[in-house]
Amino acid sequence: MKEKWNSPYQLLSNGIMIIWTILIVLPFVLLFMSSITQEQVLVANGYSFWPKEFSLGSYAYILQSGKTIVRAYGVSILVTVMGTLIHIFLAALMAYPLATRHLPGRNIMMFFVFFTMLFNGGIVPSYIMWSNTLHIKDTLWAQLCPNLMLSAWNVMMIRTYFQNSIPEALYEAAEIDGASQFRIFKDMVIPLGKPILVTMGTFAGLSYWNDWTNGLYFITRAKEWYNVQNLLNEMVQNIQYLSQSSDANMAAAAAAIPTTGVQMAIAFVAILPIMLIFPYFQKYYTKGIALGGVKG
Amino acid sequence: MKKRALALMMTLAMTSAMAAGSAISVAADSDTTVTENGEYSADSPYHLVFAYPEFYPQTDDARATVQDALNEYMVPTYHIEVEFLPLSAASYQQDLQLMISGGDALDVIPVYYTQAASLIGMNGIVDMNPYMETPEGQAIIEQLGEANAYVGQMGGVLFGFPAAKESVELGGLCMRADICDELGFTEKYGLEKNGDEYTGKVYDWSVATEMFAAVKEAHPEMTPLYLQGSASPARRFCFFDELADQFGVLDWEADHDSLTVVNEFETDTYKEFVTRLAEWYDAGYIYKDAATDTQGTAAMMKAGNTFSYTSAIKPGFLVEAQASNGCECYAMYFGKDIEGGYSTTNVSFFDTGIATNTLDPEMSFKFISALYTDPAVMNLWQNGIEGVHYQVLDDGTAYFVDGEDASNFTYHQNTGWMMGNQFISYVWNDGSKDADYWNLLQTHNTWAQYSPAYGFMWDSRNFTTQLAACNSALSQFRPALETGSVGVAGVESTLQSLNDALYAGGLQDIMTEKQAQLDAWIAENGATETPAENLEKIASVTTGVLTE
Repeated sequence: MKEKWNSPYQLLSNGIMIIWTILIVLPFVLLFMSSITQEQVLVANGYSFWPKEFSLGSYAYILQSGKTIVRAYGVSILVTVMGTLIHIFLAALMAYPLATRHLPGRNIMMFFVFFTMLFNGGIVPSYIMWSNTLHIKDTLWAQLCPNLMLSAWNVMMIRTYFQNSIPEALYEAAEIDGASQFRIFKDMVIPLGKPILVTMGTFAGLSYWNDWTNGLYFITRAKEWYNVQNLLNEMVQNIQYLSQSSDANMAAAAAAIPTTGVQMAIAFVAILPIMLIFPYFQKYYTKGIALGGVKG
Repeated sequence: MKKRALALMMTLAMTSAMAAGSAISVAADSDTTVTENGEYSADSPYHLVFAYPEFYPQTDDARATVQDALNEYMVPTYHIEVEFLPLSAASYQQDLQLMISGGDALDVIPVYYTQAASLIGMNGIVDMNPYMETPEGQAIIEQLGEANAYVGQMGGVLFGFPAAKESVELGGLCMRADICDELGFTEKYGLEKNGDEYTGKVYDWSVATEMFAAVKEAHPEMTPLYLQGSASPARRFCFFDELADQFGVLDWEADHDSLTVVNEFETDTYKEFVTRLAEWYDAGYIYKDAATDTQGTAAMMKAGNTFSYTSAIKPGFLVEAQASNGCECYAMYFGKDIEGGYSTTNVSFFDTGIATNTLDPEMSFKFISALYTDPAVMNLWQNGIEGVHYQVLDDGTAYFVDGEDASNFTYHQNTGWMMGNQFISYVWNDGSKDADYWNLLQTHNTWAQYSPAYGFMWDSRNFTTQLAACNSALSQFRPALETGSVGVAGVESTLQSLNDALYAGGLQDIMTEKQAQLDAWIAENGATETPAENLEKIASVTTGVLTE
């Protein structure tokens, strides 16, 4: 039976959730409002939820400055889509064998996966490896490969799901019916594992979209491969660096960088796609996490 | 016996002179440049990667065109083919460190003076001392002067040459002109449009207190003074020879000739300065979020509710300030006339050096030499191609070509104050400067008294841990102290906490080592003295500090 909306439990829990939601939503509202505040008002009065004067100047600036920001946006989208697909593909391919109980040497392979969660080579060796051996510097691969292409954590989550949420009997039944391993993977594991794959895909997509370290380390010459986060990071860093200096020449250089309003506008544009896409994946989210990882 | 020795010496001298003479003539006529590492000609030039921070956005196409034009000149003349590597202003130091340890192709790089120790420590930078005797090295000395050319030296490693710029840091307030007019400051203190050249007129900070009070009374909604926690205004109020890092300094104001390393944050000079700021803060003269604010002076001035901010001032300052502040401004020198001296720190702020990644340090050195001595190279890199990116005006200054200005240019670096020798390139005419501007800047330098430790750079390689600890202690307490935000009541206790934290971080070790190195340096070189020319100039106009 459905509980009444005004029962004490419902009121309390809804109340808490409403407050929680407001706390989460308000910063985004403030971000948006400051991006449409007139620059002078913004500096003089600070950020406010209802600015004295509105202006779309910041967005006009983004459109005018055209190529750089729009292109960076394109790079972000391309990298996120490609990266997520590759990530999920690799992670599932890795997780499936690890989920089969009779695989020889499974524990050793698990150890190798697990080991990377605890230890890594550090920045400089990784940098040397990526730039001097694999030559990904200043290419699109720089945004795709380092750090993000496969995550041990995601492999473990997917493996646990494959192992625990898909009944053992199903695998046996498929084998008895004569399905090859590849057939089982393609026609059974992938469709049944959709919740976890989508969930992990969202994680991967988010980290691709939000990543700025790859661009920072591996893109120095070919700035056309900058994504939105790199652009934003560069602007903010430059402003901070230049305005801190007591050197008069540097202070003058600081004035040439787009202002607070523009940064807010770029930040807003940068989170917009994520905010729009997220609700659609939510239903998988609960399923994937609640039924997969935690229970396992 | 003596005769034979003399004869031998003469023969040696003559042979070496002939060798030198022929070497030069060969270099001039020949089609090849030979170094220890290779042989280069116009057909197979040395490929050199030139890294520099880019502060203003440039068009990629324009940069490529300039690079081609530069190489059209460089390849036949120097047998060097240059590849530009523009780096982001904020992250260039980290980028360089990564690229050096990663073994990327890299030759000539910018060196920020605080980074030199770690670059030398990681064996990332070439010692240029061996090349100083070459004609290229001598040409650099001729441009910079013996003392300045050797200032970028640490532990016997010559890591870079300082950029040619104004090194004296006299300063004061930059104020909104309309408010000055309204409140009668303009008349009272004889302020002028674009009047930013130092003429010996310098006011005591108590004058500023009166001005702030007047501003506060007439415009209660206005902030009389904007300060920013992350940008220390200390140099405007008290002057120390910071000896590279501020941990252990020479107290310039207390005793000009002192050679005793003291803790800056325990001196009366420093305490007086922070107390003054605290008084102002309590009186409501300083922006109330100053300690944490990050907006910067330009944004605050543009918003229209700020009266003034502290800044170093030099000839041409106001034009730049007005452009970034979006309003007309006046400048006034404050402090003591002895402030703003010549110290190693001031001169070696920005340097140009060679990364150890270079395949041929000699060729890299030739390129650095070209940056300091060849106007064609400097003009191309800084201003672009004449007739395409800039034009030379009738008075001998340079400006954007017709139809372009600061808002829509395609190529204009404007970073000659950071790398190379801008004094050999064209003066950029931004409205106030004439062809004589570089002389004016150099004259500005003659206002300086020299620190007795000028030329001394301490070798901090073994003290990186202590320096990091002290730096973090300083950045914890400094923003509140140096914006007055602690209030008069809090000055004493905050200073105490700061000093405790510094000593806990190993300040005493640093100071002891610095003193030992300084003593050794003085014993070898003697204390640096201010040139007579400077003393004369200072004496000729010094009026003392004006109090009204």
